[in-house]
Amino acid sequence: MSLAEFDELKWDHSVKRLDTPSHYLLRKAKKNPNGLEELRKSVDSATIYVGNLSFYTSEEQIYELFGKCGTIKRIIMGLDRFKFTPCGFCFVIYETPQEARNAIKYLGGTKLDDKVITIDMDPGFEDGRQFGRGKSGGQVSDEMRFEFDASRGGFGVPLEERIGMVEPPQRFQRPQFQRNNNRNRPISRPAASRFNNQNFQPEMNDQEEDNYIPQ
Amino acid sequence: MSGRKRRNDFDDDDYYQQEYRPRFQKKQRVPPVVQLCKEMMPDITTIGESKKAFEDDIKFLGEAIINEFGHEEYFNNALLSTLKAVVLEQPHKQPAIALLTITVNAQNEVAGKTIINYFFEELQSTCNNTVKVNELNLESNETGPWNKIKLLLRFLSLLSPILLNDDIINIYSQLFNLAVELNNLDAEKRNPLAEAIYTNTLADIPYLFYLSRSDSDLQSRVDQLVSNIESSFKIKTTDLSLLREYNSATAPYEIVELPQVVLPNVKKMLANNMEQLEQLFMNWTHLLPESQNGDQGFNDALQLPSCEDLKPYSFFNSTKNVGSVDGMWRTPYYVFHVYLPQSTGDFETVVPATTYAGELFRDIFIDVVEGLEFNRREVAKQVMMLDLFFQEKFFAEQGVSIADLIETYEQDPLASTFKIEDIVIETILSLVFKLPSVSQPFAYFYTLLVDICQNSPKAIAPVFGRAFRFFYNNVDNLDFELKLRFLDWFSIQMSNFNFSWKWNEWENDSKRFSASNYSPKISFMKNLVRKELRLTSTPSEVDASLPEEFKQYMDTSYFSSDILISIYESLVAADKISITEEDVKSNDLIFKQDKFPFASIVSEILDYIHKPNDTRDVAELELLVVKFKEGDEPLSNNITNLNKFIVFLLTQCVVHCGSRSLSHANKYINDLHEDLKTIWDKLEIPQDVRESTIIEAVLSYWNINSQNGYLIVDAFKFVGLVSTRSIYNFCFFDWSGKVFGLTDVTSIDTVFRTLSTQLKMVKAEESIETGVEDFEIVFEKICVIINDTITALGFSTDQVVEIPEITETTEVSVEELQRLDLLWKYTTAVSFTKSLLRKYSVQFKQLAEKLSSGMETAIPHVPTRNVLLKWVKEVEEL
Repeated sequence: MSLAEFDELKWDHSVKRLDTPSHYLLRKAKKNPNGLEELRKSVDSATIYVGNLSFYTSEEQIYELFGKCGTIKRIIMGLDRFKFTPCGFCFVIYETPQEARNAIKYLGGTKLDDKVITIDMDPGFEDGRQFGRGKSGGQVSDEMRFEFDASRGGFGVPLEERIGMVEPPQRFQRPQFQRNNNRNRPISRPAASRFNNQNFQPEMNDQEEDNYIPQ
Repeated sequence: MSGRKRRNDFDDDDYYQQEYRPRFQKKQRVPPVVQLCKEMMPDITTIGESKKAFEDDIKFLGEAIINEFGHEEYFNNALLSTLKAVVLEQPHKQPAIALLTITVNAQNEVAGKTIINYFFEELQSTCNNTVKVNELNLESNETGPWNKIKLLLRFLSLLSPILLNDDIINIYSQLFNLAVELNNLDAEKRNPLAEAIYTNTLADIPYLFYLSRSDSDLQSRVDQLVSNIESSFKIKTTDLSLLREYNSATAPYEIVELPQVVLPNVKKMLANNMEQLEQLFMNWTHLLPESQNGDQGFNDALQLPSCEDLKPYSFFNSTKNVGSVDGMWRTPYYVFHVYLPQSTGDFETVVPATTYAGELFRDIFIDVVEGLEFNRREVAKQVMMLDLFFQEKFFAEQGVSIADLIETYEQDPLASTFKIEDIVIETILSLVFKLPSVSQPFAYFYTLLVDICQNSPKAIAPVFGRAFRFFYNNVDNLDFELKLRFLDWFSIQMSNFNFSWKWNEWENDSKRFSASNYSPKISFMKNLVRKELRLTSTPSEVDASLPEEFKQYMDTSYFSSDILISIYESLVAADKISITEEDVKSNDLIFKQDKFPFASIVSEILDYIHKPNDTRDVAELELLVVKFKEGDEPLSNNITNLNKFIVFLLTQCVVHCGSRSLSHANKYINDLHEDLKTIWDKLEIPQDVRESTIIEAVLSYWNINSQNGYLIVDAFKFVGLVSTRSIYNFCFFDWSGKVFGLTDVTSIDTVFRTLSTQLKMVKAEESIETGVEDFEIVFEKICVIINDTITALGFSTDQVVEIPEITETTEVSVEELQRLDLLWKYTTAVSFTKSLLRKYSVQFKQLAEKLSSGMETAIPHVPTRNVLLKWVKEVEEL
C-alpha cells in the first residue's frame, strides 16, 4: 500500500534526516493495512525501540546513556520469553516525543557496553511486546546469526538446525510463557521445510515476523 | 531472426513469468522529471566535495539547469528548495552554489532571475518572521531568523557579479541602520539583537568580493559602508563573571567579545588590496562565464521591521522559537579557547578569533553543527572537509602531529600551522561548554565528537587528548557546572573507545592528594572512574585500563565503611549486636542475617512485600511491626530507637525486594507506598526525621551504586514519602567533614535534577511566580557550608581567601593537605553557588532582592559576600 507522506521525495534538506522511520518499519507498514496509521503514530510517539544490546547491559546503564537525551519515564527490558532474562532489546519511554526523536538522532549507532546499538521509532509499548519472538525465546535475529557473539548468548541456534539437516528437536514441551491462546493450532509451516527451500534467504532483521507458536 | 521466432520467445517469457512470479514487486517507475531530480540534486548538495570533479560538476550541472529550468514546475521547486537547503545548512558550499547560479544566469537569465528573487523573497519572509516569533514553530535544526538572514545575505553577496550594486548595498545599509537604531535604544546596556545584526552583517561583507575582486565601484561603496558603521555603532563591553568559564582571576585566557573583533577583522581582510582575502578564499575567476550581465535586480525593495516593532524581541528572551544560533546572542558572545599557543610552542594551531578567517571558521562550523543537527554523521563528515572549500595553503596537512608541526615550523616559519581538526573540536567544545545554557541536548555534541573521532581516530584522538589535558590542568579553576560537563564528555568518549587513557600522567596528583575530599583533581578522577563503571557491565575492562595507583578509585562506595557502620550502629543496640565491615560491604539486606534476633520477622516482612497486590492486607504488616514489642524480652531491647528503626527497616526491605532493577524498585515502591504510609503515620517520629531516615536507608543499601540509590529516592519522592527539602538536606549533610553534595556527582546531579523537576512542575502549573522556595533552600544550604568552612579555616571577616599555587613538584604534608582541603571545600562551595545562580537565573531573579538584603547577616565574611552580591546582581542581566 502507499505510505502517503512517507513515500514522497522531499527536497527540503541537503542531507537525509536520521529521525525518520527505518526501512524495517516502512516495509512492515506496507504489508499492514493499518500501516500508515501505525507509522504516523510512531513518528509522534515518545517510545523508542533499542536493539543490538548486550544481554548483560542493565537497565541502569541504559538509564545513564539515554538519560542524556531527556527525562525517561520508563524502561522496559526485552526478555527471553521462556527464561525471563534480557535478550538484547528494550523500549525506552520518554516524557515527550521530542526527546524520543532526539535519542534516535543522537544515540543511534553509538556504543553501549561495547555494542553498537540500533534505535528505531516505535508506535508505543503494549504488554507482551517485551518478549523475544524467536523460537528459542530470544530475538529472531539471534537465530539467524551465524557468528559467535559472547555478549548475545554465543551462537544463536546450532548450525544443523538452521540449515535443515535434521528435524529440529521439540525443545519446548512445557513453555512457561504462553503468548497465544490458540495453543493447539499446529505449526502452519514447519520450520524445516522452510530451510529446505532453495530460494530461502534468511532476512537479517531484528524484529522480523515470526510464525512460531509455542506448543 | 523471423517474427515468428520472436513471438515464440515472447510467449515463452510470458509463460515463464506466470509460473515463477518474481519475488519482489516490479520496481515502480518514477516520472522522468522525478528521476532527473533524484540524480541531480545529490550532485548539487555534494558540490565541491571532490576538488577534481568540481569544474566538471559546475559545467554539467550548469548545462542541465539551463536546459531544464522553466519546463516543469516539479523541477523548478526541487531545484530551488535544494539550493536553499545547501545555502542554509552547509554554508561552506555557498560559493560553489553561487558560481553555479552565475553560470546558469549567463545563458538562461530567466533562471538566474528566478533563483535570485527566490532567495530575495526568502530573505523578505524571514525578515517578516522576526516579529512573529510567537507564531513560529521552529524545529531543533533551525538556527533562528537572524542567522538565516545572515546566510541568505551572504549568498546574495556572492552573487554580486550579476547583481546591481545598488540593490545589494542597500540591504547592507538597511541592516546596519537597524543595528545602530537598536543599539541606541539604551546608551549603556547592550542590545543583543543589535550586536547580532552588527556582527553578522559585517562578517558577510568580504563575500561581496569572493567572485568579484576588481569591481572598484563596489569597493568604494563598501568602504563607505564600513566607515559609516564604524562611526555610528558604539561597541559596548559587558563583563559578566557569572558567564566566565573559569572562576579566579588566573583564567588561562582573557575574555574577548565577538562584536569587539569583527570590524577590525573585516577591515584587515579588505586592506592591502585584499591580500588576506586572496589567501583565504578560492580564486575561481577562470570559471566565471566570459560575458555576464551584471544588472539583475530584486523585484522589490527589502522591508525590514521597524526598530520599535523589534524591540520586544531584541533580547531573545522567549524560551522557544528563538533558534539555536540566534539564542546564543542572548548573553554576551565570548570567544572560547582550548588550544592555546603556549601548549604547543610559539605558534597557533587554531586560527585566532582576532582574524576574519578565525571568526569565519567558527561561524561556519557552528552553522553546520546547528543547522544539520538532524544528521550528526553528515556533520562529522562535513566539518572535517571544510579545508577543501578554502585555499589549500591556509591549513597544515590534516592529521599532522604537533611534533611534526614544530619541526615544519622551525624549518619554515611562514608555513601554515593551522590544524583544521583543532578548529573543529574547539568550536564544538565551545558549544558543549557554552554558558549559561547549551543550544542542543548534550548527547548530540558528545556523540558528534565520538563520530568525528571514529571517522579518523589517528588524527582526532590526540586532539581530544590535548583538550582533556587542558581542562584537567585547569580543573581547579573550571566552573562547577562545566566540570560536570567535562566529566560527562570524557566518560562517554572513553566508553566508546575501550576506556583507554594515559592515566600515568595524573599519577603524581593522585599520589599527593588522594586522601583529600575536596581536591578538584581527585574528585574528578574518582567521579570519572565511577561514571565509567556505570556505563559498562564488565568492570574488569575499566579495571584493566587503570594503573595500580588508580585502582583505589574502583571502590564505588558512597559512604566509607566507618560512616556506614555508624549509621547501622545508631539503630541497633551496639553493645548486643556488633556490625562489622563485612556486613556493610555485602550489598545486601543486612538485617536478615541470623545474628539479628529479629531476622525471622524481617523474612516475614519480605514475604509480605512479595505477595501479589490483591492479596496484601496492611493489617498483616502492622502485626509484624507489633512483634518487635512483644515477648518476655521484647526485641525492641536490641534496638535503640524503634520508630526510626521501623522506617529504616521497611524502606530497606522494599528496596531489597526491588533490587533487581530500577523498574522493580519503582514497582514495589508504587505498590507499597500506601502500606508504608499507614504504618509510619502511626509511629511517633517527626516528619523530617522520617524522611531523612528513608533516604539514609536507601543510600546505605545502595552504597556501592549511589546513582541507583538516588534514583530510588526519586521514586519515594514521586509517591510523596520524601520531600525535596529532605533530599537537599541529605545531599548537603556534613558526614564528619564530607559533604557529598559538593564532591560526588550522583549527589550533585540529584540536587540539580530535583531542582529542574521542580521547575517543570511549576511550569506545568504555568506560574513562574511561585515555586522559588527550593532554590532558596539550596542557596541557603551552601551559604551555611561556606560560613562553616570560613570558620574552620579561622579567617577573619575581611581576610581574602587565597589558594596557594600548587605545581607538579609541590610537596604537601598531611597538615597542609587538611588545610588545603578546607580551602578547596570553600572554593567548590562558592563555585557551586555561581552555577546555581546562573542555571536557575529566572528563579533567582525573583529572589534577588531578598537575597541581597539578607546577605549582610547571612555571610559575615566580607570578600565572599561581595562576590555573591555581585553575582546576585548579575543574575538580573541573564
